[in-house]
Amino acid sequence: MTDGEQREALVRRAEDEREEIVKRYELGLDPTNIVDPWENPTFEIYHITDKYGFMHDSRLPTTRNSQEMQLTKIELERDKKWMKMLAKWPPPQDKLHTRVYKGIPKAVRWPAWKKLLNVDQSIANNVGVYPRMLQLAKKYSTETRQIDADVNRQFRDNLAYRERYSIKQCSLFNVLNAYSIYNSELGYCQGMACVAGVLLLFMQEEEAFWALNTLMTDQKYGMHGLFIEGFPKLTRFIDHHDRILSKIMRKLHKHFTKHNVDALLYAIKWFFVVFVERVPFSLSLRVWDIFLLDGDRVILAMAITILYLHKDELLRMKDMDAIIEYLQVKLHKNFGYSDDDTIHALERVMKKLKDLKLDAPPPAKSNEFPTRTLGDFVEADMEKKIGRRRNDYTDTEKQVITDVISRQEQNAIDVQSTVSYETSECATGDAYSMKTYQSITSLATSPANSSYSLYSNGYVVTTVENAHEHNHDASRSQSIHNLTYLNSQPPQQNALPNGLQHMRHSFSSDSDSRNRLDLDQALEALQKQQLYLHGKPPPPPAGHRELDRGISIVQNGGRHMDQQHNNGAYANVSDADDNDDALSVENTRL
Amino acid sequence: MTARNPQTLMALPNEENFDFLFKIVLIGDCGTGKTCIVDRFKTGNYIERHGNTIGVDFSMKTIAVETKQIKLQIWDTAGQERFRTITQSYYRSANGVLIVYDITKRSSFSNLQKWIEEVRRYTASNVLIILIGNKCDMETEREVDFEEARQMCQYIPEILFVMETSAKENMNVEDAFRCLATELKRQHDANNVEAVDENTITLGQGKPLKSCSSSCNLT
Repeated sequence: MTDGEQREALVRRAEDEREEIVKRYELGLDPTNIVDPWENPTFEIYHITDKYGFMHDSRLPTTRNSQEMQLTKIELERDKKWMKMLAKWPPPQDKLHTRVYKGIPKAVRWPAWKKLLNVDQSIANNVGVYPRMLQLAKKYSTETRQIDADVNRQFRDNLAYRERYSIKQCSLFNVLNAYSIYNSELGYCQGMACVAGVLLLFMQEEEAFWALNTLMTDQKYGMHGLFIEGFPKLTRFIDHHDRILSKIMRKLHKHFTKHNVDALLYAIKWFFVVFVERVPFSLSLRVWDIFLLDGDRVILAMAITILYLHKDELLRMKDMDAIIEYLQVKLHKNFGYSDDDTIHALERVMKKLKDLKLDAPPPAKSNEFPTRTLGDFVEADMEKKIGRRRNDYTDTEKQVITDVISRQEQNAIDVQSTVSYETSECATGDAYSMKTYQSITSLATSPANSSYSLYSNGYVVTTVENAHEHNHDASRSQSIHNLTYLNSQPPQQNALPNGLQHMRHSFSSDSDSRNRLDLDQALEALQKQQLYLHGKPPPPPAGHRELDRGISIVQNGGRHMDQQHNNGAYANVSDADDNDDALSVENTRL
Repeated sequence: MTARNPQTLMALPNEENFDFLFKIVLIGDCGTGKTCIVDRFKTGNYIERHGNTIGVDFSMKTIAVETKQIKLQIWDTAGQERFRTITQSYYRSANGVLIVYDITKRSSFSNLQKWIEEVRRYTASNVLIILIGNKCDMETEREVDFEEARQMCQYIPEILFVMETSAKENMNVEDAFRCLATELKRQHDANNVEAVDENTITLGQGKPLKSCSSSCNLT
């Protein structure tokens, strides 16, 4: 084809194209004029997608009410202030604090989060590292299969992630894959996809990689300890969460214990991904803002805030199913409080916890941070390369299993004492006797419910006859003294067919002695607390300040203890139940 | 009989009517569709855009079996190996275990041996196990033959039966739970009889597939 012919052909094509377009406009709204669905405003995705790119089950409201318009106006003002502040970084702490708690405007979240996580600095200090990790990961990462599975389902309801192998899906895969090599000790753990997924909604790939690294390894956030084998930080945080609950929301704590709502059930996700997918996304971003500013204690405070705000609802629920559904599903769909109100409550809870010296959990041990040098490439062993599940357990894993189990057993004991108390409280005049308890055991709803499956170590805790005590306090405290081991020998020794014995509970002998120890310790602790209540109670440190405000922790607590003393009853920690509110955040009006 | 909490054996403070409460745990490799199975069973819906399960999720459903109301407490666990330390503690008081593999992923089938060992280690001896081959709607991508799964089961006495399901196409999901519930109830009834007369030896406890709901496709 000559040049002239080629030009002619091009001109013809342009003419055809023009003709085609003109024809379509002449047809107008004629039904034969076929258009793609996305070309019309009726295209459903436009109506169900929110400003963060999440698609909802139903259409979003088309008009904004005056309140929302007001909020937009405020946000525009804040944009300007933030732009100024970002230009003169770092700003004064108190100014930054106020502004972050008000919520970082959506438009500046990208630069603001990068500043808070020191991203630009990290990139500058590690030139070339990310591409190298990415290359190594493509060849050697043993986590690729798991990462692939999770990338494929992370934020599937978000426009950025919903299409398979979309840009964001690829970025997410790259970041996680590269990080599994960079921090080879940690590798990849489910939950990290969500953390990186959130970062990538606001950042570029390499930025998200370094932001993720800061979240994992910086002392302030220390998420490494949450995700590493054995989950040491999870244990530490859940213990502390329980401690807070038992001190300031006793009623709810007892309610949860009674219905077997172990904090593990709801808190893993809360802590691992900082509330994403457990509260509405906009609210979780507000929590992230504050988390990035103030570090990991925000997580504990937010957990308490959620429970506090929904305490009444939760107390009304009478089974585990409803409670868990509420915490796992319902609050995500509709939190029931505006983001601003929730953050105000969070702020006050944080202050309250600080006053009560409950804001900080016990310090982290060294196992919560990387011990290998980051970025040093270590080739995986054969089993890992193949990706088989391991047969045996590391010592860390054994420890975790023992801990989780003894935790469940402790809960069961707590329920026991709660229920036996309530039974006697019902004035049946016939509290649980040994006999009743044994009959309950044998009447278990199903075979696997017999005692040996409940307590692998074979100890069944029971309350020995104290039936005809009419003084509730006395009977109850006695029931705690009387917690005994029903069997001195683990019953499964007899119950299991011979061949199976060594297979089950392969390290049950350790856990036997361990659990016995835990039980002893628990009893000792309970007794100590009783003594403590009898002795001179050291006033909570925050007491004086509270007194001044007329809402007195000490006063209430003190009065309570006096009463106990007068009655001459054996005080029990949980007797303070009626006084729940005295010690609680809730009484001090958040 | 009053329903009791399987962990504490205490009567449940619940007005809801049911005669039995059984605890069922779902385990199996990542991405085999455990959560989809639970959702299909619980709500009747199939949700394509599921996130991953972190730790343990929990739901309940009550079904009727032979005039009795059976409440199933369903524990849906994370598949990643790292979580086994947490999820295992939930096996311990389980009455039934569903081990799920993906018929389109050979590796999820190869790992079954490990899952079964974990169950043996951490559950009561009389726990009932059923094996579920999920995603059977994806016939063209099949990597595990049903016959192979069936043969494997013959060597593992604890497994009650194997069944292929599709949470997506709603095949056999309800049946799997129903069969398990029926069998658990039967086992419980048998044990009660045993308790009355300890000298009676009940034969053939391990058993009859055909006595499960007729709609199951077990073989």
